Amino acid sequence: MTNQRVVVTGIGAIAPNGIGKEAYWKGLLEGKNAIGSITRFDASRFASRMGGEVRDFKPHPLIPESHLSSMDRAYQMGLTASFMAFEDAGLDIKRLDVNRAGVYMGLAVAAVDRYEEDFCHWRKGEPGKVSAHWYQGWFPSACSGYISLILGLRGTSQVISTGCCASPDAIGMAFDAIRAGREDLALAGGCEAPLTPMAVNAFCSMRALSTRNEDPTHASRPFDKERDGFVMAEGGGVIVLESLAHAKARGATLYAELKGYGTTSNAYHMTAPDPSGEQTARGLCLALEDAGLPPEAIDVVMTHGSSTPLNEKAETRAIKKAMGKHAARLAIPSIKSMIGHPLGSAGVLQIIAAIGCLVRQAVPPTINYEFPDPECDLDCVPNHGRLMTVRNVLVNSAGFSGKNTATLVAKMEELC
Amino acid sequence: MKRRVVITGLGIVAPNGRRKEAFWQALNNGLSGVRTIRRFDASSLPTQIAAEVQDFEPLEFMESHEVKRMDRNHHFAMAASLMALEDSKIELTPESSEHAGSSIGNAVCGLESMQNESQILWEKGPRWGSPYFAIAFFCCGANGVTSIRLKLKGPILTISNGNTSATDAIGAGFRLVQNGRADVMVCGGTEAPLIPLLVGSMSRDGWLSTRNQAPGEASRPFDRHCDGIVLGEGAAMLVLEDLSHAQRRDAPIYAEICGYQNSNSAYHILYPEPNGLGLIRTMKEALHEAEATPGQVDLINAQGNSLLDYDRMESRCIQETFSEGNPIPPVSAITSLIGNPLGALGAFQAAVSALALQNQMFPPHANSFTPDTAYPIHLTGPKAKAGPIRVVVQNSYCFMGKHSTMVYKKYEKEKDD
Repeated sequence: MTNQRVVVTGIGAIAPNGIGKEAYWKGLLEGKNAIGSITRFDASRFASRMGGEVRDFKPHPLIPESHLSSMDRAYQMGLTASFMAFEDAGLDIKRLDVNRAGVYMGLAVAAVDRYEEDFCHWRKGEPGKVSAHWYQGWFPSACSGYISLILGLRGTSQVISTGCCASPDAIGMAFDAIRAGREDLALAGGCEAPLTPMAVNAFCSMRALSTRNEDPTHASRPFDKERDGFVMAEGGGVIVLESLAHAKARGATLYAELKGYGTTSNAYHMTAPDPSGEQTARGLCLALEDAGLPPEAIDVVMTHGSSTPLNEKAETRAIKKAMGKHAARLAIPSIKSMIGHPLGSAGVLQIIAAIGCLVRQAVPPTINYEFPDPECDLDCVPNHGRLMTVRNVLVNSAGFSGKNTATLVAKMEELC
Repeated sequence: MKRRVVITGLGIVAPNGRRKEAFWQALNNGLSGVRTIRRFDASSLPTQIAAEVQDFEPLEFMESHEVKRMDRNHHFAMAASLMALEDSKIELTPESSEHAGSSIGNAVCGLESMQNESQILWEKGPRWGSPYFAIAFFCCGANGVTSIRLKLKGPILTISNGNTSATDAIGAGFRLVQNGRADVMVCGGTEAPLIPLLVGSMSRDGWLSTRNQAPGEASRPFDRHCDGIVLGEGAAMLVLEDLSHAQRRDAPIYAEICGYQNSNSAYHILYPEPNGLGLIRTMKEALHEAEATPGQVDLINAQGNSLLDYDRMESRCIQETFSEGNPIPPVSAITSLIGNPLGALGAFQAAVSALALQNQMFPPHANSFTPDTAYPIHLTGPKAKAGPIRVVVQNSYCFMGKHSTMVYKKYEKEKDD
């Protein structure tokens, strides 16, 4: 079978600065900051006490009450974003070949929000308080499982756990499956709710987080010289991917085309980026090659931009290496300046932001930009979003163990 | 044009044998890895048995500072990956390593590290937390440490699909080699779930066997008197390789991977779908991709949970898939000897599929005392038997309605390239 073209036909976003694609895109373009002190637990003894919380999150009303009590917050976000994307795409389960509709979800940590306390109950010698069947809700597997189950999709159901590259890897896997004709349609994305004592402390102990606790709204400052670590966040995002033929046959709205995917690994260090940016650059090149596009076709690189001292240096170097002279003409914003870093769901929220760029013909800013860093001298769209022509966006993600994943989304013009 | 994918290396850390030779011999001799739990005092729990990896020394494979920082499932993964790569005799150059990746299945993350960190955090306070905890605890930690050690610069994937994790990780690696995103993928699964909380609560909830007096006979898939899963641990890794890449370097070839399918029954979080198509669909579709008919299948490498409703689901699906005029091929579930190492099980099954095809031997199936008669199938029996074996079907399934099937064939050079 020849390669199928893959399009995005539905979007569900649950971000700290906006729920639903319209609110999220509006929040991004206006530079809406969502970082504040952590309220989900008492973080007063922790080195970093800030987070990007989704304060007004409500699980989708169609999630059965019987499931909610044992469903982790992250999986609730993933399922709610799936419902939103499914509805946004105008899909009708009765008119769908459910055997050819898959679910691909990415996340970095297991169900810490709901089940962390079960470890305490056991430790305190109170096994009776340990939730029944807690392990099945704890397994990351449950994330895609709940979505397949509750939406009634019987195709592939996979959970990809590649740290902070998890959701773009999940999307890449779905992309390959639809492209090869193994599936017609997939819900793909990620979710994460890691604002819990153990997960936050894991990154405090690693000294990876910003400690600008007295000034949370300015703590996440990618590309700024004074950046001192990332701010943990939560959220979920799911997109509906579909073969172009399937989407056209049902008259779907086409938001964008997914054209390329590339993934590499530095094989350098578990947590530090390779300063040369070599493999990150190769990831970007692989996505370009996959899409059959030259660097000059790209207008925006939606960066990983985590606000850590090392990341942005390496990422800038990688973009220059991959894009050559064209790098200076690119807009390279980091949305983490506004929403922080929601680990496994960071990538899909970047991808949804990239689709927003294509739809709105505008780029969001990198906020909190005050002091230029000579080693990060590309245009990160400081502080104010702008209107511009956007044809193709490369999305770059970096994860644990030096993983790099790049995805390329393109404007849908020739089909409209 | 799809590329052909072959298995060229195996690395194994199993409860009943380390390295492929010892493991294969243990299976052929019917040596069970299930024993009384030694890693912690299980005497007050309803279940006191598991398939533990005993006498395993991680220092053989890594430095002591690494051993301390990592979770036990990382130790297994590192050891099995190093063995698999050595077994494949592949030598990666800085250039070829860009086309080599890894895909590892893991269901529960660094559970033991989570348990220990929980203790430290709540007893001593957050400042005592370990800077290595995130790595130890994350699902992708094992793959991270091993891919760095092996200097793999291609796609690195960790799949967390519960009991089907490793089968799906191998499936993902198969796809990446097949579509040219990688030439070599180190694929498999790793798991170290034996902590008091998991064993205690799973047995409390009725999922685990309590045959504490006869550990070797506790895991009895497809037996009418099976009384629950026996948890296991360990890692198995395979080297998957593009056929022409393997041929160029004259690599040893165990078998060819020819088909893979994953699906969901969307029925219930904990129970199999009565009369559902689940494995029937994945078996049929994977066989279709492999261009094989049910009649050509020589061996079914079953999961066999040792839980009656799940075993009956699997035997019913096997019957329905293979009943069309042909005898049902013999079925073997190695869970009968190594228990169920959750996210790693599929990788052990894959290793057995590869070894069965290479050695032309049917793997044994132990502990069939009173075969369940609801959906009669033919089990291979306690002793290994000689082949011929050309096509093997491997099944995996788990909670949340996930099903996966992998199809392997005996490697034949002359198939049109």
